[in-house]
Amino acid sequence: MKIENLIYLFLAVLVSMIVFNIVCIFVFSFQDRRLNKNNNRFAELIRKQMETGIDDKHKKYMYRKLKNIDNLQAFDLALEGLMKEDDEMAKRYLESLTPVFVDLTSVYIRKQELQAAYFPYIIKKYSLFYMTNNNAVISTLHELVRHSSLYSRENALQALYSIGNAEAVVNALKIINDKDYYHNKRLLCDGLLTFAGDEEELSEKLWSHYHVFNENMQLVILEYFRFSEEGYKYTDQMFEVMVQSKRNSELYYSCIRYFGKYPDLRAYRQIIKSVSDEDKSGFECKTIAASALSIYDYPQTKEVLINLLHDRNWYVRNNAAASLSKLGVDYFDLIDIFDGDDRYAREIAAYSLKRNIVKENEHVHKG
Amino acid sequence: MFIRDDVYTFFKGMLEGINYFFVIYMVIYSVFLFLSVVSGSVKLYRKRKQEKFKNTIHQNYYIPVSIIVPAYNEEVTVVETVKSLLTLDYKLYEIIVVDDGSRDETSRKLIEAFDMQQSERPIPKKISCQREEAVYETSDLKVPLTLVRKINGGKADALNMGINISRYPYFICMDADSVLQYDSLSKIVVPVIEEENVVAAGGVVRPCNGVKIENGRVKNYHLPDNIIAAMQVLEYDRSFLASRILFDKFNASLIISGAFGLFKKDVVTAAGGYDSKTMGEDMELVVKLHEYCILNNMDYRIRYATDAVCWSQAPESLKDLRKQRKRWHIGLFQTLAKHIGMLLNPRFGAIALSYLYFFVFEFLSPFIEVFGLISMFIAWAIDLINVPFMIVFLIVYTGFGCILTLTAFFARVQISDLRISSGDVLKAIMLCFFEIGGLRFVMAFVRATALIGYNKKKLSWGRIERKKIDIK
Repeated sequence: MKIENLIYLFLAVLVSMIVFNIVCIFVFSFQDRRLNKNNNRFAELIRKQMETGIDDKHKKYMYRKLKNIDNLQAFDLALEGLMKEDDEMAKRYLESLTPVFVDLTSVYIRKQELQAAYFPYIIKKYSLFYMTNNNAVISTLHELVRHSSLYSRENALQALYSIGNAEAVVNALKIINDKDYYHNKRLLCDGLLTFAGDEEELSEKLWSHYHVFNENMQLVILEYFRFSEEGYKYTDQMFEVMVQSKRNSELYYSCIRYFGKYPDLRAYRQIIKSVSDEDKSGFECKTIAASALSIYDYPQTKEVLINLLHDRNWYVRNNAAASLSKLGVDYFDLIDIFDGDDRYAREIAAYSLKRNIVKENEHVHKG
Repeated sequence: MFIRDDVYTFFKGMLEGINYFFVIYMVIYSVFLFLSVVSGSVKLYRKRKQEKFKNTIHQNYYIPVSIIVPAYNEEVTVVETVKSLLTLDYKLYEIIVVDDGSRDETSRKLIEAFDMQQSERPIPKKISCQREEAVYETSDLKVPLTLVRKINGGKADALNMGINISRYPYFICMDADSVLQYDSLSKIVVPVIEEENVVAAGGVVRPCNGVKIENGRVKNYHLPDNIIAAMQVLEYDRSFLASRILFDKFNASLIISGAFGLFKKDVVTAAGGYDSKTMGEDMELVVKLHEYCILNNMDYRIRYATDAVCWSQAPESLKDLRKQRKRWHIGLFQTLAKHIGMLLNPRFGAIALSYLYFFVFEFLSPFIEVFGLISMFIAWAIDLINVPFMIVFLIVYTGFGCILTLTAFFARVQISDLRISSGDVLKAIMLCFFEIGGLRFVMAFVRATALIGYNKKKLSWGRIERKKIDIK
């Protein structure tokens, strides 16, 4: 190839890049201006409808307009502004526009994943179908949960939580479970905690389907019960899971964490057994158990925790010392530790006791 | 100039060979740069679209994170840095400042500013590091703050101490003179939420010179008045788009900046932590993580969070810039030398190619560029060069580099929704010519000579003149 050709090639690329930059700048600025214009137009239109009441003509008009995602975005912005002006009236307006959104579900499910995910976001943001059992909407949301995009799934799940239909939420979890999608456990658990419907009904349904799920999803359910306000009601079921789980499994650890929040004598005995069995319990189990024991104020607890202060693992020692502090042990209870040869146990115990005193002082100071 | 025929023929043959080498080298580099900038821009624009249509995680998820701030003689900035960290829009995190035996008042300033109390906190030494002298704590703030004062051992050693004392499963390393944007934590943990196997995630580091930041939010953005800092803004944008995003696609990123990166603690600990004998400890750690995970057959990802932003001070004098780049180049050399087994090793797949890129276009490039200039001068001296053609070629090549730099700059400005003045646009256009045609060659010379006598300073902290960052 002649060297001149190379220069022409460079020049061609250079010109195309300049064009690319200019086009980008103009497209973005055009999009921004159009969004602002549409936002103002929608705001004016909605304000007028809020005053006069919604008619069919307006619904048809909105259906036609909101089929376009850019218009939906402008509508979202307009509504957000109007809610700040008059929340009640905006909500009433939205309520009467519900049939339009029902019709729009079939439009948005056909769009690309990236655009389709915006629709459930709107459902959740404005709690559009709160406590309704609209099959078309729910099956559309389930369809979105089947998408491979994390964001489609997550937005659809969020919409389902906001609708408050327990059955629909459990079915969505089943879809993720069957598809074997990775969906962060924390995201799922935190999402379930935002469920807007009857928590008790959701809890019952989760328990009744518990064995249908894989271990990851079971873990989500157990974590949900740990954090849920209704969690305390399920100690029997949790204990059953604890007994059935292998001692080195995440499910078992999750149960220990649960019983570190909701005390249960049967579970207590199980935890003590787990940490006392030197051969079978790993450091993870002992670390979690050492923390959980802080709510069981029995002599045996202190004995076990003091023993754990000698553990090889730093985290086990640290949690044991923190639990002993929470249980109110003082210097004299730990005299053997302070007089003993184990420097690590001594250091962690001293630190924990001192820290407790500092914290108490801080409380007094603030109080 | 008169020279003998045989010498002339020899030089002519040699220069022709050099000519071919340079043409091939520049074509490969330009194609790579072009592909990476275009694919990077496309990714950034797609990200903008994702945000527009709320393809984001917008609930309160909290991955517990320990922020480790290694500090050495940072009395000017350390308190402001911690104050800015306390304004982050995130709930579950702790701040750990490791004072690596500062000779100034770094520790005292912190203790006084935040009313910290000395504690006897035992530190598990999972990674070896220099001994601690004292630990101070306070839980009276929004999040726990810990200060460890230790015997001087260098930045890597200080980071290892931070890892040892941290409580949470993920840690962030950052510089004491940097400011994290208010949403940087929630953005940098997104890769961890998105994929189960993420062991590290890098954020974006941007020069904060000329930027006004209030509560972690950019209130006023313009290119710095200082020309050297302004040129670095352009350079940062280009290098970010030029290699990082493209390599990220293939899980082949070899650098996560020491100024802002998130790591999974247990994997870093298992891999041995930061290497305190390397100047480029940030790059070394990432290369080591790749090596560790591949050799242990782990399914893993090292990702980039393109919207997690950290603002850092760029050197404003040529002297400081020279020091910084020298240090970076030595770090690059040490890392590449330490992991030479990765070069063209098929077991490492895309990472071997990434290694090759860093070897040829980062490590060898200053030598090649300086060599190119020398041979051009020789060719000119013995009248073996077509001067008008050479000028046209250089102009086109410089123009090419400038346009790619500007593409990266505008792409970044647009996706960040920053408003810049037309004055800044003009300034960027003008400065990119100086950067490509001037600063780049000066830095090539600095980097080419960086290895002379590097051994003597192997554990020293890189010092540039510190200024208070414009934060409120």
